[in-house]
Amino acid sequence: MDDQPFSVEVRRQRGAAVAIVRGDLDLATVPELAAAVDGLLVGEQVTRVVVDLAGVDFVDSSGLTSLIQARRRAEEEGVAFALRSPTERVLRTLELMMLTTVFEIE
Amino acid sequence: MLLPLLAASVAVAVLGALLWRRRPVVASATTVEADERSQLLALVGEPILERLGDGGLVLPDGTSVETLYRPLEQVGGDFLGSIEVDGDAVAFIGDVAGHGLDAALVALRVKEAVAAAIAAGASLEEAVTSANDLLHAEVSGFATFFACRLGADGQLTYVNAGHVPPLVVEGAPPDQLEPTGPLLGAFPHEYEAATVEVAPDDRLLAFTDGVTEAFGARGGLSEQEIRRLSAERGGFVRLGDAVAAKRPGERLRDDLAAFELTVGGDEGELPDG
Repeated sequence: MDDQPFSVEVRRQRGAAVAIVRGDLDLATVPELAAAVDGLLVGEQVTRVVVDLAGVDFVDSSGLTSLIQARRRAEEEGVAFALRSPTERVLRTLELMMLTTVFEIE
Repeated sequence: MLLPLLAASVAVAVLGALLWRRRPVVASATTVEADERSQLLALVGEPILERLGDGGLVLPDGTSVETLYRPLEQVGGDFLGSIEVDGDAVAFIGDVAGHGLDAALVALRVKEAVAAAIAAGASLEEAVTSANDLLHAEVSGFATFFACRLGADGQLTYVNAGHVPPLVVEGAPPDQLEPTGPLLGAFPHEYEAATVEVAPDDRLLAFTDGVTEAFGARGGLSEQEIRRLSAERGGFVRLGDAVAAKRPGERLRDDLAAFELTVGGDEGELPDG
């Protein structure tokens, strides 16, 4: 397999925290993203969490549900949540699940 | 019919809990314990498998539902069902996120809830809306789901909750049945049904994303490959083997489930008008 290793890098941009995800977002890698988002929500004050998906070209159903759960947790904390730059393939997956209207996509 | 199923799910849940309680011994786990665990799983898995899969359906007018069910582990999150309600054929298929016993138990609850609601006279959209409520409010699980009902008037009604679009392999456009609502468990939602007109011998093929690469799953079949295979006689039965053949020697990456609905009857048997 020549898949690139999975990674989540966190950057601060003014009031927003951006989690930059690279690699496949699936059953195996979902816990890493969940931990990163949880860390952002319980850590220092952020008003907005953005998950950058430009480096992700495969999301399975577990990956999608982890994004829904992340959005739900952010909502509970009163923090805005958005997805950034999904690839065409990931966007198609979001469309198939009718989630493009549910997620804010920037 | 519902009560024995519920009793079975409770028994299965208790057994599941027992199995998981064995896990903390990991540090001192021995091969014997691992063997016992897989034997227990096999014991628990078998009755669940029988309930998550489906034997298909044939109606007197020749309408039929053929099914394929091949879970990744002993049990998985894919499920499907077919029932006859007031002379109509109802078929549905779903995919609960995750694998193994946890996903299977959620799948079983959704399957039972939907089947019971439809058998009790609920419309497809009502049944799907209540399954969504169940997942969202109680179970905290997610599932894609597709259900359809073929009426004697040649109308096929369907609800697609974020499920990979089923293909109309033989029949008039549309050539696939796009989602009518989001996947189950994500948000409160009132689902709506859509309707297409079908004729005798039309065929509809519905499957989970283990079969297809529509969701980007690696090693699945492309839409063209599925259509080519489905056009052949007995092609549906070979679908599972075709997926396995794509990656010889490797384990399947996802569960597989599919059904093929063939519209029966001929002009003489359909009602006038």
